[in-house]
Amino acid sequence: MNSEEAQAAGSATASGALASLHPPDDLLGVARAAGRGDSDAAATLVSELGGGMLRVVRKVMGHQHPDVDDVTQDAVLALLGSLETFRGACSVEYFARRIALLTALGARRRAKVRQREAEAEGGAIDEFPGDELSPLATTVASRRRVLVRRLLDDLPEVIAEALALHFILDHTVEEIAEAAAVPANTVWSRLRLGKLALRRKLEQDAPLAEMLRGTSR
Amino acid sequence: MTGDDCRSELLVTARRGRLSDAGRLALDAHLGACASCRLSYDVSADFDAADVVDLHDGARIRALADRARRRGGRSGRAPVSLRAVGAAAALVIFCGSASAAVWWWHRPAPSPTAAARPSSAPQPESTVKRLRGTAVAVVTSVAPQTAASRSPEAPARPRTARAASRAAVETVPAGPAAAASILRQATEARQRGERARAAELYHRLQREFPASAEAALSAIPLGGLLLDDGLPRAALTEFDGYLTRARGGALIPEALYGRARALARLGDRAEERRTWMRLCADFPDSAYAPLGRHRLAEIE
Repeated sequence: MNSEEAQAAGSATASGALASLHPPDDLLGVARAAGRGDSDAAATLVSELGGGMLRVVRKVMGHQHPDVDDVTQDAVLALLGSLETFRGACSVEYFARRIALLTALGARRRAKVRQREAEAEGGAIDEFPGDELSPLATTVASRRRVLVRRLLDDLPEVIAEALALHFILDHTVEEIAEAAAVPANTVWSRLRLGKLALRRKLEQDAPLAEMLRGTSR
Repeated sequence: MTGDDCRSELLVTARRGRLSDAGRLALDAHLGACASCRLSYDVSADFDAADVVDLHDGARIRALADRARRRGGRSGRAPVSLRAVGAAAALVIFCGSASAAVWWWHRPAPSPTAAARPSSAPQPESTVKRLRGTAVAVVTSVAPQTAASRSPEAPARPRTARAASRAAVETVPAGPAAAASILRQATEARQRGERARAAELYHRLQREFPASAEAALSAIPLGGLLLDDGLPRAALTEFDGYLTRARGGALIPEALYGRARALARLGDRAEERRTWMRLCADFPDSAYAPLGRHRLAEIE
């Protein structure tokens, strides 16, 4: 992700949906200082936001993806590189999480071929077993995450971004529209196309269909 | 509606915890009829379940912060202590997770499960185990919503946030484990974005188990919620409550950080300044100290 893309992550107007979303931003002062090159401020900012960015990257890349650390570092550097021109139109946290998501989406696209080669057919599992999650439910959720990620790799970039912001960062249409500087109807259209493609992908996936049949018995 | 062109945003509102009771009922009904929103619900829940931390996240964030500092052109200062890293990781990564806070409580109450609470003594080598225990607690804490919605035993769909909340209340055990259970449910509600529900559970915890360690710890996340909801005075009461009760508690830096933010919102510059000064003086290696120094410079 370059600084231009990073800036686009927070390009909404201050009076818009993004600004109305967030309470007064406690991190804005430290972000401004970091943008001016203050190294302590930069470290503080990363301490505050690094965990959230790492989690977003993990969601997009997959927990086991070998590039998670590198991509998070890229996202952090993109964040720091864009602070100088950050206008504070949205909260710093929102800005950082969006940068992390876009950076990870881009990284997945670049690594797509290599990743596909490494994956055994039907064997991609991104699993988080928990005491309260049945093995089947864990596997279904894992399989669906893998399929969503693959779809994000294949969809046109703007649709993938809208879908990822909607599913992973819980953005409203208005927020996505403002951040991407497009009309809300355009985002609705992108989400509709993305969901349609996702539904098809899920329906056509034989292993998932088999698992879902198991859950509905 | 069954297509992919639904324009309802009830689900996003619910996930942010901003839905009224009537809104929740409307969402229940909507999810029963709208395949598009049901798909969003399922996929979002899948990714919530993937919102996990790793054993080495504390070190990762520290490395990132160090790199950020070097990038600013200055040499790094002395590394922070392992305890500080652990506390920062717990609070920063878990966004103030109550589960993590419990882990740091210096006199923890008995835990209902080994996964939720590590039992090893606080020796240096046990820190790894404790971190692992915390991570497991966080991993499992996001599971119920997804599990119940897709387990063979409970195939009925959609399972709504409201239903999940009801189930959570119904699973509160009796006896000493109840406080820990309520705290955990509050954490889960907060992670699902059900802020009002989380606040309700924190209040319940403080009301029903006022002497428990969990109740004391709940002041930190509850204060954060209140602060985010534009209630700085109520938040200040929570942070002050923790500082009064938890003498020597592991989350004092977080309480001071919250207190300073609340005072800033209230416009009490003098008291805010005193709080930042105490934070910087008593906890110079905490993750909040640099922020405090910047804020002090701004105030002065």
